[in-house]
Amino acid sequence: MKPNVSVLKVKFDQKCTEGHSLYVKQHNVRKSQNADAEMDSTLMVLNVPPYCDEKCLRRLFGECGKISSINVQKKPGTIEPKSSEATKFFPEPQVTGFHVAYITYEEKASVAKALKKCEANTVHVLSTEGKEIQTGIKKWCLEYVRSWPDSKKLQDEVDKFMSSYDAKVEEEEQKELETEGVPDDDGWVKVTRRGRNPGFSRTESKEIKIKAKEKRKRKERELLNVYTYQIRESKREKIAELRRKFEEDKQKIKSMRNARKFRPF
Amino acid sequence: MHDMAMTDVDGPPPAKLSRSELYKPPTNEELMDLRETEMLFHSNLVKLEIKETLKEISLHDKKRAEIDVYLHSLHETIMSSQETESAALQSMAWLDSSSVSFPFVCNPTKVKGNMKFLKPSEIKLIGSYQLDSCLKHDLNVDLLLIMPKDCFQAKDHLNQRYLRKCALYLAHVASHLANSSLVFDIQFSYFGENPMKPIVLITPPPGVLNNITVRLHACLEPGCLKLERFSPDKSNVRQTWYTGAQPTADEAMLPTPHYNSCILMDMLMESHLYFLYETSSDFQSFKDAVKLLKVWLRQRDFDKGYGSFNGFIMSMLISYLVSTNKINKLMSSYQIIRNTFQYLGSSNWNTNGISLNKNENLSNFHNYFEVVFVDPSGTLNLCADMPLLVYQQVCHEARLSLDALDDKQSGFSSVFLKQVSFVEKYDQIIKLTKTGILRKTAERLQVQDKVLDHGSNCIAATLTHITSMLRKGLGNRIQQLGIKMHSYKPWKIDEEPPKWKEVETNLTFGFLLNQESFSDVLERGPSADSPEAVVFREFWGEKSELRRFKDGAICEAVVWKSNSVSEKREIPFNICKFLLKRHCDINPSAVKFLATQFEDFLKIPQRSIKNGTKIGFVGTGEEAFQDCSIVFNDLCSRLRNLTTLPLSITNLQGVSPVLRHTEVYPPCKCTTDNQSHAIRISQQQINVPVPEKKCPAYVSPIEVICHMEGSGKWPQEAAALRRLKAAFHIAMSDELKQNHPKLICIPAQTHVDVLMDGHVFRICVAYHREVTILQTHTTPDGMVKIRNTPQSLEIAKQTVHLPLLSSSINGLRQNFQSYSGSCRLAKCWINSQLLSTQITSEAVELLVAHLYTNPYPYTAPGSAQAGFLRFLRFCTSLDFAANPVIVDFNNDLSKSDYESILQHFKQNREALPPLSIITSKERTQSLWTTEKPSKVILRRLKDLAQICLKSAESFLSSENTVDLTSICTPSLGVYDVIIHLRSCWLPRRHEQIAQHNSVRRNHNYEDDETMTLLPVVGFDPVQIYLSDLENCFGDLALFFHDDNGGSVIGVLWRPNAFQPKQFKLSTASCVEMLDGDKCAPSVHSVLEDFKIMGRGLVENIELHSDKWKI
Repeated sequence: MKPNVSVLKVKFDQKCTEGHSLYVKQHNVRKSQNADAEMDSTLMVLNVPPYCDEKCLRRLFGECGKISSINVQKKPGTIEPKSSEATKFFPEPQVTGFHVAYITYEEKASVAKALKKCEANTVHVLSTEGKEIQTGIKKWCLEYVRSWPDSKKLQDEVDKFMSSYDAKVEEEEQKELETEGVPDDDGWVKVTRRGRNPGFSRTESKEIKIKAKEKRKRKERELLNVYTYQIRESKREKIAELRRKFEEDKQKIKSMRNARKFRPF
Repeated sequence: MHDMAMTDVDGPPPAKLSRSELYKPPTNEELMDLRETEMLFHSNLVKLEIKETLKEISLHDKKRAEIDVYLHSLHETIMSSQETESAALQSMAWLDSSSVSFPFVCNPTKVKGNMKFLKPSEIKLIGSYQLDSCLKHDLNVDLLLIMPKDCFQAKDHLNQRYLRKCALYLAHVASHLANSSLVFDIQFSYFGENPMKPIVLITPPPGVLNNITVRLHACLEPGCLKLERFSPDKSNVRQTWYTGAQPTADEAMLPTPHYNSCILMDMLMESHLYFLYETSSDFQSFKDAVKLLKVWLRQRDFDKGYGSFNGFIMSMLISYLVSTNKINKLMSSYQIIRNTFQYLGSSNWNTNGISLNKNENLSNFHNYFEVVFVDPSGTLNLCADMPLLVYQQVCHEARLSLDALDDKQSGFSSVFLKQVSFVEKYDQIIKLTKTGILRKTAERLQVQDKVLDHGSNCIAATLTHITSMLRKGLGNRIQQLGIKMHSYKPWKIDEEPPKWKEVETNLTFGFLLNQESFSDVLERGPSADSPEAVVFREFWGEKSELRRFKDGAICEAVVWKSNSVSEKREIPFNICKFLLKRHCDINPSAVKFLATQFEDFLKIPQRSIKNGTKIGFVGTGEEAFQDCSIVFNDLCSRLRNLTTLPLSITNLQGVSPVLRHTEVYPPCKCTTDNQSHAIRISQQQINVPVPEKKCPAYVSPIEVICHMEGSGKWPQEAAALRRLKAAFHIAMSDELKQNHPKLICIPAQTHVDVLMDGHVFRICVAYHREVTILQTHTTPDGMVKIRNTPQSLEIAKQTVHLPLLSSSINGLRQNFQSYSGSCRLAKCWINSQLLSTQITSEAVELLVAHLYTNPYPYTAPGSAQAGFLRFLRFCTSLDFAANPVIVDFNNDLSKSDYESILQHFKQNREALPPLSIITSKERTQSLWTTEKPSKVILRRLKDLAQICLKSAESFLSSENTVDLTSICTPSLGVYDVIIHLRSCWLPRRHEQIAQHNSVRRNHNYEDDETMTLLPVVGFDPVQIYLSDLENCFGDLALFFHDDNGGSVIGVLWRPNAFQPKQFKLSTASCVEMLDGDKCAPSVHSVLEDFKIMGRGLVENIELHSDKWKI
């Protein structure tokens, strides 16, 4: 049984004799998972080679209709929305290697068009004259140049981001201050770090600490080596401990013997 | 070359006792056993280990019975030998010269006396086989043929007559046995490597008995000769006979102590047997201890060579300890061994010899022998032939072993089960390649009397002088002078016996260096007007000169000129060379010096390469590293003095291996402006590479982590934190530029690069809470949880663990000078074997560190050579599945710590990486090996180490020269695909080992003006290419490369990588659809992608398609 995907053959450039197959499929996800609708107009493209970047995909699939967005990720799954925090100098980490692309068209009809394009069974060339894809030394030299930002522009971007971040933090604080001591709909008051009676912070480590403390306290209350049975018990424990160790050692020796560790020469 | 087999080996399941078994009432026996273990043995484990080892080395009763049967028939055959008529000893008339040659080098040939062959009056079984203290490995069974009285004449004890008669007797027996069916092979050999004492070696037919040798000794019936005649001060070799001179009236009777003890040894053999039998009967732990100590001796090669400390002497020593009540019958074998070590460690038989005969005055022995241990008869020194150095070495090893037994980790196995190889033990080695020249030395030293005593064996005669001279000359520079005595090869009975100079293994000396002083340039002698000055001048000759010292004294002194640290390390050699020539008439060409040959790998001779950039450094680069550290410290103080930064700097730590001196090659200073293959980009002070040209020479950034003080202003969100750090980098760069206009500072998002004195430092700002910020995540119900994420792990590694590792390693390096060299060699070797992508360099550093913190059975290596050899040895014996490698910096771990680490390791074996390196700072996880190396790589490492160790040791121990570069040459045969790279785009091509020697040297160049642009930093296209390949095809193949300018990438397909699989949307990456619903990667597309992704870098791709299992 053939899997239910269309195949779009591509090769890097004219000279190449081998290529790859892109597996194209309409992306259908239950509406509830992603409310952003227009799911029917999204195309899932699998097995995208590493050198086929967004620009290249746009060229390849743009002729079937206007593309509204392209999401690239390592593995197929739910589409991860692009982070709002990415800026020019702090881009999202690049997806490397073979990857998956989700191409969302503005119109539903483009999806069908694209799928039809695959049926033509022609081999598409990715890097064409005039629109070369840079790989190897050229790409790396370019990346080296790009790794040195202009310090002024970088500073500007940082300043912009930080001022918006500060504003955000302040807003949150303001909100917290406002809601402090004010009961919610059910009449509960939230304990915060602020105020006259700050509660301790709710972290995992705190919880573990408290539990350990209780346990320790319980143990301190017990008396040891008072009753005969306790003394007897401790002796028994000691012998059991010796035996346990002996057994462990025996096992260790056995594994060493199996590994022929005892042959000196 | 071995194939990389990809199979798994699993250990046994952990021990578990059921509850009922644990708590059942103890039996009396069990309680006794447990108590005994506590009292008599170190621990249960040692007791069990001893038991197992004894099982492995003892002779089975069944085998013993077989041997006994064989010996009976051999006895009969010998007894049936033909008796002969009497003939002159010199003529050897009754010896069939066609089948057997006389196994004695006659010098002079003339000898008086007659001899006839008579059947042995008795054949006795002697030696350890009889005493049941023998080892089953290379078992020697000793038979003593007792010659009847009638073979002898009066005065036979004189002038080697007795010795030659014994030899003749044995030769006759040998010729008789040669045709017997009981004999597979028959040879002569020298007993104790002493050419005066030939013996017969019989190898039984392989089907009958394997791995045993029967040795035939001959001796005279007891009572024929008076023992008193052979006391050390008596003369039994006449000078006139030896030199052939006419006898004069006042002929001096030179004492012949060694000759005497040689004869005494024969005569007392039987009584020694009875003596040992008496001590050991009904004393099992004595026998066990002797067996184990024999293993100990053999592991250290003490039982081989001339004047060895053999099992017999060890048995006698234990008997002595029994007789002085230091050992009693109630002791366990473990305690006997410990007491013996303890005794040896504190003994001094050179000045205070011991005697098994209570009423003997030893001063007579001390006058003639270096080492004194007198036998029960009170006439024979058992250690007559033993050089002082051998004895001292045994004592040294005993002390070490005692320490090792008490050690937290190594214990029993390092003492008894590991081989202690001479070349690995000693830091530097010198070797006499032509022993023949010692005849000249003997003349020079005027030790003719000794030559006569040793039967013209000049090695034995001159050894004392040579060693004491070396000892004196090297003085405080060495801790211990080791010696490996010469030995001879057994020879066929129809061949001529080897002369004293025709040795099989040569005389070899080893130095354990004194780290503080071995490379001192100046040696201060006595004050010029003191009487000692004359002696000093006599000793050092023209080397000695007068010097005025800081304290005003004018003293004799010797100066050894050297220009670099690497040359300084050769000073001990220069001293030996000089002294051997001056005092012993030995030419340097006859001596081989071994220790610095490996260091040649670490040299990059200074030169300028085509485009004007200068490359290379002095010697092995210690100065270059030092220079880097100085510049770094300067930079640190400048950074600390920046007062106008928004927050102050709390800590600056270098994390680059350059700053802990463990990088294979120190960075070369970039002093020229002339990076002709790079161009400047607009306005910025940066050079960048251009695809149309060649790759600029590699400049590695020296990474520095800069911790800033905490403040409420730090944002508590990852994205904001990243940007704020960028702002810090910009601010820091601006400040630095303002205060120091000459510095070139370029900020970027994650770091700021500073060019200072030709080195580029990469400063990364760190905030101590960043890890926590990345780890924190809040659950929907408001609980704050701490979970590791890939980013947090990365940041933790960079800002917490790496600085910690750096400082630990730096501490270690300051304690052990040679660490840096060993580590660099180890890394260089790993890289050259194309494993640099498979093992992190930190892991290698820790593995080498382990050799320093856990040196048993050795002491910590004192030279890069010793360190490197032990690293190779360590790799071959790496048992990574069952044990973690524990690196105990500063001796922080206690015994219970070790136990808890092992416990933790055992419980979490599955979760820990294949190779687990636990340090005293990080006791539960192995940070530097989490991703690599894999089991396959570890096994590959093991195989490679095995091969390279073999060629390294053959280089050090054999006489013919071995090409050392073969150790660092990868074998490309194993790979499925080899990607050849264009050398003009390899920025580190000058680091290739093959390049080191084939360079045009250019000595006269000056420093150019300092650079005004930041050179191309950290740009290595190969590394980028490799990480791309790993990202895209890591599931299909393994990639191998040499970081030091390697020009190839080896590719090995993973097993089953190209097997067709079910097509699934989730795994459809890099696959082609096949018939049906299957899919598989296409090799040809993958190969084409290799080319596409490496455009400009890849020269061509070589396919070994015949190996593919696709």
